Amino acid sequence: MNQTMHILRKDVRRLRWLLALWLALLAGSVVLAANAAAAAGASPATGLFLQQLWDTLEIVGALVTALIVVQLVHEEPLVGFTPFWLTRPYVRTVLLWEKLLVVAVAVIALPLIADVAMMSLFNAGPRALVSAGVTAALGDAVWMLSLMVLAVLTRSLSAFVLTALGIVATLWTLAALWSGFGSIWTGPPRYTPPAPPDATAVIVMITLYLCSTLSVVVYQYHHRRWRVAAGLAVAGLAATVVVTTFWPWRFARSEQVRAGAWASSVALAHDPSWGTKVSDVVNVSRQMGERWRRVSARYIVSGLPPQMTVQSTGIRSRLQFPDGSALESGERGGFGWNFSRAAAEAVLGTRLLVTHDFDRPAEWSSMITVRDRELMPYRGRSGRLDADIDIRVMQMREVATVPLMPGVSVDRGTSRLEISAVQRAADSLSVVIRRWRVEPAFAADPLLEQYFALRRRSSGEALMGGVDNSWRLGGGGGLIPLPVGSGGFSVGSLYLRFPGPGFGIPPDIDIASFDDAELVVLEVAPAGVVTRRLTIDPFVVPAK
Amino acid sequence: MDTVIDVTDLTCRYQRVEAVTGISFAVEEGTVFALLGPNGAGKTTTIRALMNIVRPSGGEARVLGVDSRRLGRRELENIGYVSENQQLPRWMTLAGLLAYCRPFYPTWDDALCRKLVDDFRLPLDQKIGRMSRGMRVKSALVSALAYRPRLLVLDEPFSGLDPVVRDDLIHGMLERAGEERWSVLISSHDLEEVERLVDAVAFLDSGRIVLSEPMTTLQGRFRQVEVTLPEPAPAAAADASWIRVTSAGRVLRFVDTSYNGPASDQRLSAKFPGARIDVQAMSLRQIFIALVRYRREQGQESMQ
Repeated sequence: MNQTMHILRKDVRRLRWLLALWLALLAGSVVLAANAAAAAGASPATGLFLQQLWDTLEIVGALVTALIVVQLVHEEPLVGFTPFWLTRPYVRTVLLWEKLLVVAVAVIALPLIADVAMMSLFNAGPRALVSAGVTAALGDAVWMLSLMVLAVLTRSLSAFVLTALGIVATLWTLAALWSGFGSIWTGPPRYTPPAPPDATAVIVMITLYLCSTLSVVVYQYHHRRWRVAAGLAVAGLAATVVVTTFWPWRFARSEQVRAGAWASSVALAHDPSWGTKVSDVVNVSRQMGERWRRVSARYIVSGLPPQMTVQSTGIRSRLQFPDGSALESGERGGFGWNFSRAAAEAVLGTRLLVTHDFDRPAEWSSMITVRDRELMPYRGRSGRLDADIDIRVMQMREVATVPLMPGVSVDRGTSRLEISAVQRAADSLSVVIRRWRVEPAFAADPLLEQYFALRRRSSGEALMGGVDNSWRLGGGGGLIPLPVGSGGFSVGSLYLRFPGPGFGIPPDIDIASFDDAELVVLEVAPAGVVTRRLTIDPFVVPAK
Repeated sequence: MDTVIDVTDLTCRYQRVEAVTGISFAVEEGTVFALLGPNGAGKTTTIRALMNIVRPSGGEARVLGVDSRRLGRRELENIGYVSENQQLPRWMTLAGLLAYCRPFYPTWDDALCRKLVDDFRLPLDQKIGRMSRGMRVKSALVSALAYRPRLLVLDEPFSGLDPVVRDDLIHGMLERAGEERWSVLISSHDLEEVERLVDAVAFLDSGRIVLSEPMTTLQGRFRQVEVTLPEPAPAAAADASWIRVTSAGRVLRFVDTSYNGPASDQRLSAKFPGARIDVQAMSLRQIFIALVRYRREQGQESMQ
């Protein structure tokens, strides 16, 4: 312990200016957040300025922490034959722990304290604090150990920077090659049935990465053998990627949202009036001489409750010809979520004062996709198509309803909305919403899309709000974002205008009549997957 | 007398290059042992292996009774190491460096430390990074001597220093080592400076030990011999112990590596009757140069 404290005092003295700068940056971020809290109702320009300051602080903070880690490790370099400490009575385990301690305090604990201070300004509860703390600590630990691995394998700042640039360039080249070859050798379109959200891969990847980087650091401090340590680092990185990819045990899979009783009324019907058509599948492999063809028809989904809409479909189909031959394929069909007027009206229970109808235009659906040479013999022939179609359904729901007045808030544990200001103009009504939220490190579920409406029950009318402006501080997952699905704590403001420009402005609207309206927060969430079989017989493959 | 360093069949390899090949020598407690050899002979590699800075690929080196690969806190508390290339913390002042080193050594002697700083005329408040090379070496020495190490290991400590600084160092360090009976292993090119203080030497060339013996016997058996014959004579058969044999007219010159006083004188007189025989003692530097040149000639001959 004495030696630990002795080396620690020396290192702190050595790094005192960098540590002071780092503390100033952290204090600056808290002050910025305090200003953000105060500026929630101010003009968007102020908020955007704060956001730019915040982004700058994050970049400078990342550089300062990198310098702290590198200089700390290079105080007793682990590479080379000439460092002073090698022939002094250091206990290597003590040296390792001392370095880890300093880095953990500087790069993990201090930012964590700043985060807690920042979140306290926004009255975040314990659940949000824990969630954001874990996210930020993990992100910072990944950053800290990545820097330490590079630092223990180099002996100077210039070597460190060059090595880091080399690694980034190598990974970038590999990713570009992977993506390039992947595009060229694109296989047939495939479809796998929807799996429930799963955080297993993120957990496995982060755990393996932290273990492998820590093992490199520990090995180098104990044995000081560059080649073995560098080999360990490369092997660790490869193992992280490979094991994560092929990890069999899905221990963090969420429950699949199951379709409710409404599913029994969902039906699928072929629209014979559209016939069939053949089109090209556009991808890079086509340029390489491999041509794919898609045969499409039209089908109609019916029986969905009004607050629901189809987000996407997946189709597995088999086209059987009279001679016994068959074509098979699987493909994800694209619908995508669009705002649905009918869904919003169903949830709000009122008429929506919008001029856009948001109805999705009728469109072709791919029924079977095969290589051109496979399709060629069947041109002009007909067969029987059996398709299993997964229909992924989303539903709009009401999350909260609050009176339209400043200071009113909606607290959901890891997120909070608060009306900061309500401003009335002759033809519109502006509402400024301050919101913070925490995206946990191992979030399996994606963030849900939100809409805002003003509802006037007395007249049975509602207006949709559009986002005029917004700004946000944080949400990057600590200093360095974790690879997948994490954001940590973020705070910002939304500047809403009613009626929202994206929804169409009715010409004869009386905005003053909405003075007593309530603000409704709507959310679009998964409702489940319904699978239906569609048979088209005869299914004609067009001759041209 | 205890052995503080015992090297047996030590081999060190850097990838495909064998820097040191199967060398063996021992350093007795309380003696000053010099490791001599031309550039690239393997002196620094040997010392690095002894200090556990590089891993030997074969053989064994024991330092203070411990395998060099297992040198730990206890052994390092008793070893002072100074190298020409050692990187001291440049941001520290000398006072800061000494204050930092002090708690690592239970035997740290403040009085000795102050005396060394005074003797070397070192500025305590100057940053190491702003010191001249000579001052940095002196600072390293102070930080390595102030705890009275049982063993002092010096790797080319005088390299590139001016004569005054060298003299300071030799007086301040090697003479103190002699006074306090510290054991010293030193590698150096400055043979004249270390000659008067060294008890034993080992000559290294191309990673191999050429000879290893006490100074007294080494300087006793090496003689530069010049024989002036009465008339030009045909080449006389050289003794096996003669090296660097050259003749010019009536003069024959060689180095006798097995000189043993009157007996050798008599043998030479009998071999060269009527000749004037001049036998001179050799300095360590002369012995070193003679041996290195002899080995190079041998190497060229074997290649031819």
